[in-house]
Amino acid sequence: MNESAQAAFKTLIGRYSEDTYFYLARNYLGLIQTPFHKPQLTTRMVQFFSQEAVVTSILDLLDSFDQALISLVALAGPLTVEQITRLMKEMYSYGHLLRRISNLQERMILLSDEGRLVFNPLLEEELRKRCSLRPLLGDTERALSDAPYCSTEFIRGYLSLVAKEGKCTYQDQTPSHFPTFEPKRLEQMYLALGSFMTDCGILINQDRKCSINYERAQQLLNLTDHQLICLLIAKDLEGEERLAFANALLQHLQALGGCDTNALKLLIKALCIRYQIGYSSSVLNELSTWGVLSLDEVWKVSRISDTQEQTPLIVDSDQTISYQGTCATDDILYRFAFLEVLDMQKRYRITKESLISALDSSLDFASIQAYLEQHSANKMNSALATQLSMIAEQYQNITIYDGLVLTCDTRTANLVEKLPAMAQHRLVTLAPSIFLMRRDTEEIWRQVLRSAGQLVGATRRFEQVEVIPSEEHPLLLLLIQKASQLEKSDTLGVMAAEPMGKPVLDPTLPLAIEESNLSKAQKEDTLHRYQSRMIVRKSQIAAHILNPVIEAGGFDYQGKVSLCKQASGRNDLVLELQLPEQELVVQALEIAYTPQKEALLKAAIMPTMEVKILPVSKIFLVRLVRFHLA
Amino acid sequence: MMQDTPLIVQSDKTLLLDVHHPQSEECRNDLVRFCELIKSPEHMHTYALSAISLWNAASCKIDAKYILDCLDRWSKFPVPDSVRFYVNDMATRWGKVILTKSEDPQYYELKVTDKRIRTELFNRASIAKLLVVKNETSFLLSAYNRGEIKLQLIKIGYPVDDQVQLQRGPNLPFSFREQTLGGKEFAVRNYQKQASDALLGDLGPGTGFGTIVLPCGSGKTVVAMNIMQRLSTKTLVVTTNVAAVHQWIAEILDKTTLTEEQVGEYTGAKKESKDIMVCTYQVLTYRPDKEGPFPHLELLTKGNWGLIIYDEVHMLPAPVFKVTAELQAIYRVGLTATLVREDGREDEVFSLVGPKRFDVPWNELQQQGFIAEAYCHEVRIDLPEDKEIPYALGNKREKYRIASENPKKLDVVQALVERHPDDFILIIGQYLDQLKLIADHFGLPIITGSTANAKREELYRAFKEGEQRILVVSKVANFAIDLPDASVAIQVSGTFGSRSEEAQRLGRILRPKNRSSFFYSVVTRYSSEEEFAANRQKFLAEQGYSYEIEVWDT
Repeated sequence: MNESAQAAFKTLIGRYSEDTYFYLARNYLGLIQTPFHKPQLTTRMVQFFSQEAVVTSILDLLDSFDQALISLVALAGPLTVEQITRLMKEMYSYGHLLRRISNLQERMILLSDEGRLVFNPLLEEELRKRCSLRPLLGDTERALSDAPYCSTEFIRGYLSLVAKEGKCTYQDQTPSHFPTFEPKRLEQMYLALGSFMTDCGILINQDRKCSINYERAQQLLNLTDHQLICLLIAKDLEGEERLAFANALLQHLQALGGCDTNALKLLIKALCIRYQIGYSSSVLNELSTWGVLSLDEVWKVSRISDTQEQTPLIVDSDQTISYQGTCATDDILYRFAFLEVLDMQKRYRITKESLISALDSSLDFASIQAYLEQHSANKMNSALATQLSMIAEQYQNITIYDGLVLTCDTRTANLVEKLPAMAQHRLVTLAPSIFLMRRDTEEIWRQVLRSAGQLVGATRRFEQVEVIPSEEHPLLLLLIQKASQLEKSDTLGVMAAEPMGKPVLDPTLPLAIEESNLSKAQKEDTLHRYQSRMIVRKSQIAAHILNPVIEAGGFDYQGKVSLCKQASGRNDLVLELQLPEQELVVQALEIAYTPQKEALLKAAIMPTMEVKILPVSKIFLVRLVRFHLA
Repeated sequence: MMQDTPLIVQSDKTLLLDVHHPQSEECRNDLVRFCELIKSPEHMHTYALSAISLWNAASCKIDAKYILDCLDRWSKFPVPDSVRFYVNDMATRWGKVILTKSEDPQYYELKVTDKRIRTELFNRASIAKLLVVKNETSFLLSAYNRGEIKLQLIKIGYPVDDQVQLQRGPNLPFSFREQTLGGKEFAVRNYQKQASDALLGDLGPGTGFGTIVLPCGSGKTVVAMNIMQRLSTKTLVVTTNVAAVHQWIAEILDKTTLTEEQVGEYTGAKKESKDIMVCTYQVLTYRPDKEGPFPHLELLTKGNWGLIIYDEVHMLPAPVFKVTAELQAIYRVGLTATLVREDGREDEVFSLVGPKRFDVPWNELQQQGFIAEAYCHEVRIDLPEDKEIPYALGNKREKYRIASENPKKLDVVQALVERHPDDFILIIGQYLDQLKLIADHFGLPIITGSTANAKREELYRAFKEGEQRILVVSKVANFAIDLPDASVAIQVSGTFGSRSEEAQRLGRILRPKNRSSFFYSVVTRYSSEEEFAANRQKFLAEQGYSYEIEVWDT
């Protein structure tokens, strides 16, 4: 047992109220003689929970419900009781949840850390080994589906089609390019992707034409599929940790394979708490839109593959280029060929238009040639090679420069031509003293001319041109950058190493209780704690009563009133009430009497805390539950 | 999950075959039984599963299980569920609707055991009106509506398995010659016999009709003659043009014991009445005015034929479809190099002429030496300087014409003719002025649409017999002209036609001979002609022909 765990245990237990502390100490250490030294007691508790046999017994007593609760804490991090009951309200009744959480606290499996439940540091290592998503999110083992999702390969194909059509809208023929996708879902994804990429400045819609900023697109394509999906899920969420949230969510889903809607919501909500993200039902939509989940009775999770090795390109004589697997991040095929089909085999077609589109986007022909030669499985088809060269040659016949015309005298012309510093800024010599100069380096070559003693006036404009500044989207771009640093981390094991069955109660203990010298009431109390799995060693059998009466019902009117009185005004005790048509969990506020001496319980109904007055006579059963042990 | 096999099954129901894989041949042999070959470029061939291909397979007793087993065996990756579903759904539809004869000769019995299909038939007025309920699983159908019901049902996805025995026509015994009239040894090739056997089967119910798919130059005419010979009955052959009519007649007389008294033509020029008749689609669908009846269609319906042969069945025109629907009791065969129709009416060919019964890919026949190996070349040349401005100023049509009639093409033709001093050459073009110029320049004969039939026949004969080595022809020579010795085609102009037209054009030079065939397209560089050339290149490359581009500095 490491010292830090012991120290943490001492800190936590030290913060407990006296009532709670002694309740737990007496249960586990037996009779406590006065005078006592509290730190000594704490050390004895540490020693108790450090015994291997004790730890084994405690762990043996875990059942599947306990496993679900501890798994939730492992998944979401420290949780308040209210958070747990809210998260699991679709699955279990409020009262039941309260009893079970309280029981885990009494068994010192969970301890309260300023109102949030954490693992007992002395048991934490072993408890985490027993955490599993299955009891929490459904026992059925489900395989991942091979349904299509928004991958980097999809993005490449998408961008290639945008380049081909000059628009980013979904069209009738779009499904034929993506036959693995269900058309409606594809349309949804297409629209969402268009909107996202426009927001990022990857797509630029101008003059009814959509163009691509390939530099920015490359940032997106540098991501792995996993990182890309995380980014897409996280982009509209609020919170610092949104990418980490998406990362955890995706990994847990991949581990899980599938689940029902309640379980899925539970998972999302738990991770929202862990990463301090405001829960939004849009997460479920996003998961579905990007193809991570598909609904087929239950939610099925698509396999988000790691990068698959790309086969060499088959450059065929019909000018198609196809391959299997995933392209390298800096692959340029999508820039000079148009997507035909994205399926198991991805197929692009290189056409005159596709090549021109690539050349227009500053991809030079030599790179394309080199790429094809380097990546082709077979020798490049000669007809295709000839054709491409001819197109490139024709393309180069005309060059239109974006520049500034500089007219000058002979002396300056001499400088412009001869100065080495000017060479890189001079695009073309139009006439002996007329030059086309680079517009993007205007400030630099002006400075060079000034340094050479020239007087350089302002640029003359014959007409005012409205320059539309390109939009910057720093936040989204930062998010893309952050996404590229995401790494997969550990998830909870999907199945527990030892699946929890029924708890194994030590059969010798009831006998020992029976044979002990305890009074009847003490025996009853001890036996009750044994059944609540609080007694694991014989040393805990001691002559005291910790829970005098916890339940009263039927005709035991006085018993019921007594329990109500006992719980009144106490934050650490709640009452479970069985009424003719409902069950309530309440915090008792006070007991009052009618003129006819009938007892009335004024109580706050949990979890809404709405105050009601209930005649005790109408309550069939009253049960006391320890709540918020700390 | 991945196995080392040559096939990839895609979700869009296409199958990609890696032709360099050691097992690709074996795989291909399985695929052709239930898929259509879509394209066969150098490395990766594409096949497709379609309703028609699956029904064609089902009609040959190839069921869904067999197909899926094949796909599982050959597919590199797991077969997509959507494809499994499609195969199961489509293949099992064959045999759900069976047409048989009934006790009353005026009616046929349509057996539909599937309750869901029966309900669907009831709910469609156009179908329900043709049927009379016989019992829980059968309908009665007027014999007259045999074709109509097949058409209607295939439109809603249920092919009819026609098991009604066809009628034998009047007897007309004849046999094949061992030596042709031209003096050459003759025997029906094995694959031609297999094709006939596949169609005729045991001549029992469900046989005797269908389509034979063979590449251009592989001897589809001989297959048809073999079927004619086995049935030995009155036969009508419908083909694409008059020259083809004459070639059919010449072939029949050359290779069989039938005589000129028994074989006749029915064309615009001559309307004979003999036991074996050859006519054109054009004459059958001729009508004096747009709304009037087709006077010559009676040749089909009232000829008391025992067999009808539809040559180039992919070109079957709509009115003939309509009549064919009424001729369902007659033995019939469709011949084609491709089942693909530009108008997408493959399903009607399937229903009315019959399912595909036999198919051999061209490369197999090429390997066996039955068709020639073909090389396609595109020669690009610049436009002369003096044509550049007119070209720039012209409208789309003028531009295309200027590019097509590029005078520099004459030099190219000259060089190509010199390159092939021993070959028989066809110079093909679209513009008559250009063709006349070429013909005048080289002193060559020319065949155009306006060339009299007699003159055409004479020139074809001279070409076939080696008296004339080079012919200049307009697009009239695209179809069904058998010029077996042509081994070089030089296309100087012409739009990219339909896929089938291009196949036919190439087919002119694919007849077996002891040398390779060359197909040259001469194209003006940097002009709109390049667009058509690009389409042609795509098509030919998809068909698996080698394609080279040469840039000539003339």
